[in-house]
Amino acid sequence: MDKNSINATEFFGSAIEADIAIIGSGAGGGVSAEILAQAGFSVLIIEEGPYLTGRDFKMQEKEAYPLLYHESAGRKTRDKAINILQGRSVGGSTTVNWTTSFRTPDETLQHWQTEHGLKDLGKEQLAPWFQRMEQRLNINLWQVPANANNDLIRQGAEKLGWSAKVISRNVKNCANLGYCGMGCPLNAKQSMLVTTIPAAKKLGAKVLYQARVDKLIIDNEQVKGCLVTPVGINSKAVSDKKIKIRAKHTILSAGAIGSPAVLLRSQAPDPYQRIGKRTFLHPVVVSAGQMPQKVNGFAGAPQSIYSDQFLWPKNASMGFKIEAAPLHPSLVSTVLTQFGNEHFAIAKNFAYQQGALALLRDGFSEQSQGGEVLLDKYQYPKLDYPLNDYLWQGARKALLAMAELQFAAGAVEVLPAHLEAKPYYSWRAAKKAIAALPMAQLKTMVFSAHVMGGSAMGVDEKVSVVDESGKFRHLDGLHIFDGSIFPTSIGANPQLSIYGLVAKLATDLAADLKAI
Amino acid sequence: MATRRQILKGTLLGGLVVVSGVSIWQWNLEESQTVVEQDKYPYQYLTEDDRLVLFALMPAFLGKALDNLDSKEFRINLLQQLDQAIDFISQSSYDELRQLLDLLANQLGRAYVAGVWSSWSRAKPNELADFLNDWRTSFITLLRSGYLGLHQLIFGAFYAQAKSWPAIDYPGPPKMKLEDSFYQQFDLQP
Repeated sequence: MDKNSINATEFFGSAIEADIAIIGSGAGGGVSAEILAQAGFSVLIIEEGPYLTGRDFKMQEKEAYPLLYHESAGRKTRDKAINILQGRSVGGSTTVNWTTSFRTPDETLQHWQTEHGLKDLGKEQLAPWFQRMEQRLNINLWQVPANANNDLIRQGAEKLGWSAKVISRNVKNCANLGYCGMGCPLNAKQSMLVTTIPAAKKLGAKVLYQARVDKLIIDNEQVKGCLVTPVGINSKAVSDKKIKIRAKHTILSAGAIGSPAVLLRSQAPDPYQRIGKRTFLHPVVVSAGQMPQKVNGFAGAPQSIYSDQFLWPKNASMGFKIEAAPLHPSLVSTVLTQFGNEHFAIAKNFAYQQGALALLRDGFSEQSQGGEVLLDKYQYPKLDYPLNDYLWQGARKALLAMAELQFAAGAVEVLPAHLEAKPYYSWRAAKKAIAALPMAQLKTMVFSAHVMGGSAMGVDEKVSVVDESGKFRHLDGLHIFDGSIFPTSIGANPQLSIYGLVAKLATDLAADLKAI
Repeated sequence: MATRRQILKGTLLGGLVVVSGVSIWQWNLEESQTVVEQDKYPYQYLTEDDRLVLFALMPAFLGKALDNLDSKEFRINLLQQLDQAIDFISQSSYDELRQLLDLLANQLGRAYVAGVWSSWSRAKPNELADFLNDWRTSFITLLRSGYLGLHQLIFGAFYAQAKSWPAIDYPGPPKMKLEDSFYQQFDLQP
């Protein structure tokens, strides 16, 4: 590793100073680091996870999940009803995401303006920031033909007259391997790991990794840095040692679970009890469609086609976005809820399965208030996310839509991920059975790969945690720049929404700090 | 007088033999027990009781997927992989897993004592499967959560092993021979 990267467990000093301390190295932290380093500030990025790079990525689930995902890819909500896939190494989830890139939908920005008063975040105001980040991260429509797993989504949608479009991806010299979720071994994915973080380091920024932030240092209503515990690659403390980070300004970019957790551990002032509230997940339900021909859902760009046919329904029900679910054996085997020979009967057709997922757009209705981040007795965050009837209605519609699509694409059988589901052999049979499946926690399998909200941006201090500049409302010297400031979910894979919004906010902050 | 521990072992290993009676899982009790006990790997998290429980549940969960794979090394290796994966979960997740494994051990022991299962030699072939199915279909969310937790542990570890792939027609990741010089272009110059 280079001289600008410091393993906290090998650091012998007791303090580090910087102009700007950035807590977290994912989408928010990475973009902030580059912009503030370019503006001439000394920047220290603090990351709890290990620093792993292309050299370390071997496309093996057994290594990738423990090292690159929270809780060995098994992070769960408090009642364990939702399994959350979230990155944990340098680069955060950008290191392991499937490269799917969407600008924030116009409807979402419109909703933020009318319901949350965010007048600065209109389509026109944000367009240049999205454009800038699309250029920076080489985000383009995927030109290579979709793999079979994605093309079947297109075929099914077209047969049914549903929308189906090509996805944009943040890649350069991508070899279409299909292992984005285990870290790109070619450095083709333009994650924070290979773009903004190395660029910031070239400008003198430092990365302190395997460093967990215990709490902010708060002095007279001013944040003056943070206190860090060096941890092993398993995120567990290696000793009682602490490192004091002294910074003129702190940016919290620890994500929608981590950022509220840091605020809660710091006992930051919270007069209206808003910290950690309205955390959103894009709850995901999945469906496996067995095709007569091989699909090989593990090979090729994981996501290249999507359907927004049901994203913005006319009625008030919860909309959802349909995408392909890339298939790798360990993860797939855990999603198939059967056991014994019944499980193997499905698993043995692994290469013939088409995986579809629907991500539900939470946070847009009174009936969708999301979850709440709490601290457990070890001061570690737990997300309480109740699943209610409103969400289950959307989830059932999504399971029905995916089954219909998979049969239209030629599936010979369809199996929704549900404890009581069986393989169904026709759309007619599936329709009847799915309509009758009990939708309940730990019966319907629910996943999430997108954590958002919890430090909501807003104009009303009674319901928001940060103001329109991303400044924490109740202390000076602290901004929050990550997906936690979204007032709702996005309604699309969120990475580009974080990049664009943070680019705007960090540029404004750099100008403000220079002016002082 | 048999200790709880002995009963537990008898039950689990009996169940194991019974469930897998149709396949090559016909280890005798002594041998299975010995395999787990002689494993000198320095487990950080899984106790010997845990390992006996998981060892017994593996064939019930995996069924025919284990055909042609059974060897002492394979199953012991799976237990070791599990122990390594557990190192990466949070303390409170571990506490919950601990409760689950303890509950399971006690539950099975009690089931045996209560005569729900007859002695291993007389148990019906599908009794361990029935037990899993009871948890899977339970109206108690805690039991379903226990089923899914064990399911994720065992299947997740099993299908991460290259040896499990031929049976499901997964060729494994593409073979890449990348020289270090390839990566040097991305390195920060010192």
